Amino acid sequence: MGFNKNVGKTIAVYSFVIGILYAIFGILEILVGWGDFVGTGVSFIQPIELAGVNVVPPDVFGGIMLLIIGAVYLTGVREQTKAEREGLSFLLVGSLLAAVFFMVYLVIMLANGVGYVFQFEDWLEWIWLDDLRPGIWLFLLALPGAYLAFTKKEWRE
Amino acid sequence: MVYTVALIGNPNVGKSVIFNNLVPGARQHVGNWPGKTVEKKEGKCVHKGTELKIVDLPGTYSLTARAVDELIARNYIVEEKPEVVVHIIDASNIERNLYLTFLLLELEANVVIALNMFDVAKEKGYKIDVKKLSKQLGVSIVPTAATTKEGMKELKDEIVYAAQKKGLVKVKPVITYGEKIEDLIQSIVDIIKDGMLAQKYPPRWLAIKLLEKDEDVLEKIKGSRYQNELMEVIMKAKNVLGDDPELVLADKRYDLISTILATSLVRGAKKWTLTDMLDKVFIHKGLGIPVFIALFWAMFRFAYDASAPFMEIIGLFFEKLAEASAGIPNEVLASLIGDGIFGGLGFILTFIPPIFFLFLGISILEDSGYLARAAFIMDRIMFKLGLHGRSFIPMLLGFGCNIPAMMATRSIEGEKDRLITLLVNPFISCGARLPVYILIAGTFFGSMATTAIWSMYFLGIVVAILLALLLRKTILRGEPAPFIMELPLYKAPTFHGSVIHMWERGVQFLKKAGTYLLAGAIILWFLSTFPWGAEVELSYTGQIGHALAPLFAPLGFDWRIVASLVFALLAKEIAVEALGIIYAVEGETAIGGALLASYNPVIGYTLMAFTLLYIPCVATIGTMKKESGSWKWTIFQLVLTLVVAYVVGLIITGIGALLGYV
Repeated sequence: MGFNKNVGKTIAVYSFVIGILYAIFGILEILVGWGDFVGTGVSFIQPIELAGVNVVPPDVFGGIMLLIIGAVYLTGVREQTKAEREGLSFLLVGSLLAAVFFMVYLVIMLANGVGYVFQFEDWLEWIWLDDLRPGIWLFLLALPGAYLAFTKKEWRE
Repeated sequence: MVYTVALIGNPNVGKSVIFNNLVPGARQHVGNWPGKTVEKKEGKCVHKGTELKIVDLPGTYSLTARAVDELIARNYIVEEKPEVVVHIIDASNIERNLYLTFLLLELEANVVIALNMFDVAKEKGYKIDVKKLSKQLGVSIVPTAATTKEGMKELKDEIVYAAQKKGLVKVKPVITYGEKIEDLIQSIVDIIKDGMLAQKYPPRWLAIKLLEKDEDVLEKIKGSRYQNELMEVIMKAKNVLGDDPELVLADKRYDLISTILATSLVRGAKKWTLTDMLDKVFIHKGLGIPVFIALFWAMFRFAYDASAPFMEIIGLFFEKLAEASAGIPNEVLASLIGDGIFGGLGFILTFIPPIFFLFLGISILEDSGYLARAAFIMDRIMFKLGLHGRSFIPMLLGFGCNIPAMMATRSIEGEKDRLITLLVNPFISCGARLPVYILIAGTFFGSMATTAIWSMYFLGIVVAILLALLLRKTILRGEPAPFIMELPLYKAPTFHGSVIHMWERGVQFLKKAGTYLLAGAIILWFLSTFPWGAEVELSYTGQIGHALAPLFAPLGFDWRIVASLVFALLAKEIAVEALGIIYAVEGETAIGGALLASYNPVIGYTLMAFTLLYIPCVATIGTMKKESGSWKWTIFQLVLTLVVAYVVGLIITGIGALLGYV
């Protein structure tokens, strides 16, 4: 099936949801990390924990990067709604950026695992959940879009 | 007999890949962006019993005398007269590439065309009638796909055939430029045909170049008996043609190309390729720069965070060796090995993982074709500032090492543009500064370390652009030369290719470690431990540091930092090595903790910025002298970098004081 209006609208809704999620978690990372960034230690919101796991790390610049990914997804929504194939570019590059950050965070998690296995001083209390950042699990939601953007060649015709 | 074969072509058409395919064992760096080859490279191969010397020339769009790399390519063909000139053409962009073919034919070179990227052209829907095109141009054409080695055997066959037939058949000009231009060409040929120049160079080519007012050729006729007569013809050419002859000739060439391609090329319906899709965002007006920032930040995050445990492993290894060396009975030898070699050189070697990881990141970005886009989006900003967009390519190359980056400025047309780029290039952060950033940022900035390191790279770019602007507005006034940049196709980087490129860059650090850094460690140890038995502060290093420390007191630097910066003039990494030795001799094993006790984050950040901006290493100074050909500009650069580093240091210290760090 070609890139028609129905497909375009579905892709637009999907890009909008993923883009908003990246943007929300980006803003949360900034708000949680603000205190550390300016050196006051007082952030706009407290760290968000779920079952003892910090789901939003305090990381201002990491948050900005998530915002950029979100912006890429959201910029393409209008063109996708109109079934203009150019809109697919934003889904493709958004997915690519999401994949880059997923890979980087995953490699860092694995490297920290090496530190833990060797029981180096700085890694004694490390648990893998510490490194399970939004940049990792958000990509799992972005994965179907990434797959479609790369494989559906007929959409580009 | 050995036949000489020159490879020539536009930038990024696959010359280096073809060179590597033709020359057994050649491993010339192949990167997905224009301007990698700035010097000619040579190799040999034997085909069907014929020995061939293959020469890879720098990528060039034309053969004018404006840019150094163009001149290198042209002079080689004109002066060395290779038996065969293989013109490598990007088949997917044939129209623009054929322009250079015309220039080569004017030179009466024995041309064989390698119609490379034939597969990409096919994908784009191009149908090229190779036989017809070959007949129209009067040269042999071999379709190739260098990356898959398709057409390589046929290309070698054709090279050998062309080499053997050279001289047997007189090359006739198949390209003519119309009556008016041909009359002018003939007038000039008639004047020069009996002269010395015509014995050495093709008279028709000389005539065309003189009509184009080529500086190099005009220089050659200076003082000759027919100079005045020639100048008369050259001067009247504009009136006869109604416009600048150079422009008229360029238009004529493109007209001829269009005429030829009208019958030998059928373009299919334009397909929207993956490259088009990616470029829609990567060079997007609003998103291009944020995406560039995000990708670079990810690269530094990877280099710094993922390397931390591996640095720990190497650090522990050298710590154990240092401990073991304490058992050496001779006290001086024990100190040399423990404090000098393992404390200094060993300490700097712990930075191998982040350096290699950073180079892996740069290689992936380069191989994918993204770095060329980074240059393109920065060009927008630079153009608005009145700077030459091409300058950004050498700047990006500077992330690896400033030396090849300075050599890459040869592709910049215009002496002032090139000089500006040379002068500001050392502000771009090379791999050698990375150990300093990692040590300081890791010590003072905790979870913000990646951002602190990343900020140094951006500080370097910002300072380079601002300085370039200042130079353009003051001592190097003028308009930037026009800049056309071809964006290469995106390619999925291969693990094998990226690792090789990482190794090519990283091995330079290892070589340095075995030479400069080892020698530096021994000298530094000697200067830090002698007079023997004295405190480090009273050693020769301490004396050097103390003598210069008052100059740097406003920046918060004490004698240790000052001494380490003095030694780092040899190579920037030595700053870290020096701190390692000074603290090791003082009996400190945890350098991070010792630094934390001695300085505050503002001093740390100032030290990072100062290391980035102050006088480049000796090898870079040597390259500046070689590339600029002037001691005046080399010394100017040394003063400029020192002043800029000091001023930026003062600004950071001032901001720190406002924030309460005194």
